[in-house]
Amino acid sequence: MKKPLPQSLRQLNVPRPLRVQTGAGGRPLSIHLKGKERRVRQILEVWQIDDEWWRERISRRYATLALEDGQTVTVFRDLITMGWYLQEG
Amino acid sequence: MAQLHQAPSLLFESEGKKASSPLFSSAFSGSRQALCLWLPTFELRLELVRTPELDTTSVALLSPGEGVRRTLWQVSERGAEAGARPGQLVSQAISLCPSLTLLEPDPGHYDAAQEEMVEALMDLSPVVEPAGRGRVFLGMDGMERLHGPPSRQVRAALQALLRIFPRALVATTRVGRAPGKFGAWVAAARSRPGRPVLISEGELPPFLAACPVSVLPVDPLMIQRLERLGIATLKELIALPEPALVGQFGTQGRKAREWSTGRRLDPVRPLHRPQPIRVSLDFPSPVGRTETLHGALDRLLEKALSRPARRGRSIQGVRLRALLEGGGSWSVEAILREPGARREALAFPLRGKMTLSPPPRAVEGLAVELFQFGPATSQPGFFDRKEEGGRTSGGMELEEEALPHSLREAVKELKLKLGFSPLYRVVEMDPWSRIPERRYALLNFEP
Repeated sequence: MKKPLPQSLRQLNVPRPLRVQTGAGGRPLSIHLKGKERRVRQILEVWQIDDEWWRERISRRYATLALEDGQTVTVFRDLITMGWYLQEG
Repeated sequence: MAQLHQAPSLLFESEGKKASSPLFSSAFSGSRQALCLWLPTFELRLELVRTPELDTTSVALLSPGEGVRRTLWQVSERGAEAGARPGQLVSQAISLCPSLTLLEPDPGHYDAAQEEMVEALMDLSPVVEPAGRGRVFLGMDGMERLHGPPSRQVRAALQALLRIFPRALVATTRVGRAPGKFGAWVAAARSRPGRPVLISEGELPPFLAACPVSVLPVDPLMIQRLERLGIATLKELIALPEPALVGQFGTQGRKAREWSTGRRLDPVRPLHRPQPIRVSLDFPSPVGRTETLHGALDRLLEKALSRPARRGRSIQGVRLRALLEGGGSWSVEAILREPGARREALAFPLRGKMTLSPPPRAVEGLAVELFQFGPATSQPGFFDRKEEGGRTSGGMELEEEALPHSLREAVKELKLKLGFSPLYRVVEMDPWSRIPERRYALLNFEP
């Protein structure tokens, strides 16, 4: 995310920005996926990553969400920029 | 004069079979008249050019390729005044000179400057022979009509350097001109900045005779023995009968005598530099894990070996360079005893050197350079599916020969249409990273 990659090498599983409706305490209620609003049925798992404080700090709170249509997705909130992203865990 | 022993082998490294004839003969290919340009402590001075504010401080460059017990490689004048010396342990140097600024070497930067220097001097003479960083021999036969007498030749050479280096760096250049490389090198080493030493044909024997035996490019043990025997100058050396010298020191004794008398004149030979094969890889984020670097090295070697320019040639010299996080570079190189074209044979010595002397910081980019080539290899083709060590050595990667013809044709067509290969393969970047996007990447696959 920090610098452009050379054409010969492409990162896999790069986080993609995501629109998320949140409720109390920043809990995700629905996400905007493939042009549609999808309600979150359940939060299956939550974990946090804090890394690289010596370089450019990374702080993310991940969540695995079960959507109302049965699909499971992994999202995270960047605790520095406060943006939401979609990413496979 | 101690510096004369820095790299005697480099001085005459271009001696091939043709040069095995000890005496100058008209059949040689090269130039008899040699101009030697020498920039002492070239690497440290390049650092001072890059960071001018360090020029007024005590600075030392750390030795490259060392493990935990780092020593000093080159020391600035102020550092030397405070007691720091090349070869000294860092702890000793710091205790003597607490304000000493230590710099990590940046071999990529120095090599680039050396190449630039050689390129610039090629405008002056077609016969240019580098002899280590900061030292170049120019063949000056027949150059009088173009550049005038020797003093003007020197000026032209310094002008050429001024086009690429700042005046402060060029001002430190030592210049010597004499028949043969040995004479020119000794002349350069005895010169002072701005005062070149120019030796004509007739002046060479008396000039050499007055020099100490330490100028000889021979084994330092031989120098020690000569000095212990009370033979301090080349004049005293040539007073000894040749059979006695050969009896004591073998071939080195004979060569030493021939150099000392000025009978052996090593010509300057034009640089023969085959185009190196370079492949590189930029990491999305700096990598510090050795396993990841080893993996990247393997991929780069595969890529370099599969280049059409490599086909039919074996590899003798391979270099691994890294761009470091926060600037600077790191490199190791390996010269194989037996030229080969197997990935593992090339990777093994580089991995060993990387373990002994790892990059000092995280790596942002890695590059492999195949720079010395041997004859066509007779070993099984790297991509030969039928041979052990062929496809199997590539593990699970798709290699050229493993691709069905139809797919290869399809890729070719797509490449024509799109301008790039749309095939990729997954490579490990940092598989244990906690950051998911750091773990794997797609690498272009171009059959």
